[in-house]
Amino acid sequence: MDHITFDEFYRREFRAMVAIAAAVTGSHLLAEDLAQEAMTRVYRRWDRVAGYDKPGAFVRRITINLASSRRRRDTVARRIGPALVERALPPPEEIHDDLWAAVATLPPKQRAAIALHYLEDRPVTEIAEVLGCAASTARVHLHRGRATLARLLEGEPS
Amino acid sequence: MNTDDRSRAAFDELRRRTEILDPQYSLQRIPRQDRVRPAWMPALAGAVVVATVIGVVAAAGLLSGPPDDRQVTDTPVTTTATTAATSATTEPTSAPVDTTPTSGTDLPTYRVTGVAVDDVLNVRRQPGAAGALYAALSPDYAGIRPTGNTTTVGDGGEWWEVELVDPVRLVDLGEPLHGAPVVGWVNAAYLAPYDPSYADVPPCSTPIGAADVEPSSPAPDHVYAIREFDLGGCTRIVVSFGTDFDVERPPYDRIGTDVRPAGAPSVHVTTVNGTTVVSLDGVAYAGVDEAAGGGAVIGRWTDGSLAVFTLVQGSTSVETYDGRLLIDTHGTPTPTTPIVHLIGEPVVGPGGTVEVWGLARPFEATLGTTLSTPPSGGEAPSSVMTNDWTVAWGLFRYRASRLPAGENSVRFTQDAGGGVESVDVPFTVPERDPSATVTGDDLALTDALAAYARGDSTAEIGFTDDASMWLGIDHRAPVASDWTITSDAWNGYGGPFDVLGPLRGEPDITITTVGPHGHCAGPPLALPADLRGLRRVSIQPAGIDSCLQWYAIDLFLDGTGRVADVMLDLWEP
Repeated sequence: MDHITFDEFYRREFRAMVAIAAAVTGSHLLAEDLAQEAMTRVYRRWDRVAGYDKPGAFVRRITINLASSRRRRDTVARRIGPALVERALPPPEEIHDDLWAAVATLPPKQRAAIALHYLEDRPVTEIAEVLGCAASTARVHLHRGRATLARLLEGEPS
Repeated sequence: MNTDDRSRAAFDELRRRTEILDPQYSLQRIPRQDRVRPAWMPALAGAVVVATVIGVVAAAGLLSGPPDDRQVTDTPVTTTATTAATSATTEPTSAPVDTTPTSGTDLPTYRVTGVAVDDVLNVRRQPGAAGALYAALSPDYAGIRPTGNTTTVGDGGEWWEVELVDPVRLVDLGEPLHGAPVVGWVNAAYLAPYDPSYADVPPCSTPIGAADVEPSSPAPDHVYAIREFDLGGCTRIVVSFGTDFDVERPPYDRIGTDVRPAGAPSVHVTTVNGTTVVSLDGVAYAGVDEAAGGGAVIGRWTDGSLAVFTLVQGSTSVETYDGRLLIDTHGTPTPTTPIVHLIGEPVVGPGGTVEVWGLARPFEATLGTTLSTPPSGGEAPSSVMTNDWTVAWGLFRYRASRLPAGENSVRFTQDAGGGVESVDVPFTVPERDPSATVTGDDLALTDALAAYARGDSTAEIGFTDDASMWLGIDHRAPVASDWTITSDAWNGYGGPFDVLGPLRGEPDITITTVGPHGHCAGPPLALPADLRGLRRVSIQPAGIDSCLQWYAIDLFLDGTGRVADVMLDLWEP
């Protein structure tokens, strides 16, 4: 990671941030915005972030935090003001509607763990780094998330 | 296809769709800051601090818009301000104060005026009342920057094209924006010049105490912008408030369905270890401003009230003005130690425990800790890490036990790149109070509860006839045989909740404590009145490395030693 420029970092990571944010929020349009915001924050302190061992983990954590905060806020908005709710666009809605509906019911950390696992094939240790928790905790998030999905979809966790 | 395969297929599809969009993501799109957030760019650093994090976190709920029964109009439905124009569809009775809008600065220069508190001002895509609705501005919205384009519509009303520089909710999309510029047209009769620094308020006035601070009116219920100004030897931080929907947060559980707290909040000003803490009771919001070299951190106490931590040292005065909070700091502001900002005084337990809560920079924030007088017969933690949920700053908790009575202090240290920096936090450990010491009966009780939770029918626990079970301090129900509270959601988790759930299954290594304890990385919860006089015996997991693993099961014992209440507490993710 030595001497990586922000441009290089951006090219490498931005698309993944959009996908992760989309998985957490269920909105591709919002995901672009959140990924931009995450990258903007990284850019603000790039002189420090560039020196991290894993700046990719750093930007993932910011993206997930932003997406989770945003999602929590949207949930509240739905309760209070239906007319003002964003029109979320679940990306694969027409293909796996029930699956994404099930994903949407997961707690934020489980959703993030699921996204990192299925989107990026990351091992538990790296998921833990991104989520800022112990590997055992990340494993629990992942296990519970998959078990919940299996239960909701009337399947079995594999 | 099993669940795993279906999940992989769904996420593969998501990834594919993202890749299709890839050509859009050129580097030309990224520097959004060039357009809307120049304040923190190097060339302008220090000029203005726009609360980027606050903006992001708060944007979704900023301009909540009207309830269903409220009209959205260019004209106030009921107008109390005598200077307001009578209607946007007719000739305004008075022209704006300045008929030539100023522009060209990064700061907002105009604000909404003459709009009733239960109404909104419309922003339209085209000038005139017939223009398509674009956004709705609250009566106290102040993030308006005219572009310089003006026009007079057929009825004689003057309309200005404006850019909305604070987060705003768009009417037609229902989408709150917090980054892209929003440009539309408004009836100029409802705009008034605005100086976001409030320079007409004498800067750096004599410091005032909490009793002198007048509450804001109308009551703010969340922070959505923090701006910092250099007023010549005086740093002014202006905290602006707006409306928010965040009813999932604990405060709203007590507020009810009204999104605004009843009445104006009270303001308390204290100084803790050189950090000014402004607490606003009844205000629900948490967020952080990443101001460099100053600024403010907004925190939310676990009881729901909000606190503003100013990050500058010196004599500080606090005033409320026009619904804003003005925090002035005298002299040359110098950042406090950049590694730690304490939240409250250290909490020293009668059993020789100390807990210190604070904020530190996240992610890389591993703070070394050293006690001046180490525990007698135990080891104190050598480091603590922050919980980085807040992105910009993270909460940390330091806890040590078995400390001898007397003067002590903990030193937090961090290698900040330019050398090791440290801050000392002194505290005094009182003599032990025998009544707050964990007894053999306490240990027997917690052991019995754990056995009971795992299905041991021989475990004997004496409950009162009307024993209650709790989810934190938020939900209460009579004890049921399945120990389940059927709440849909609590602390970010989905219900129903098994109050004894953490004790079931494979046993954790736990510790038993007596008396108040922290809410993981936060101060102790303020207990409801019903529980305050009861002896509190608690079970918490030992050796955890994340608050996500933390729980507490509190047993509240009456005077006869019977269990009157059982409370499950979890850390909100």
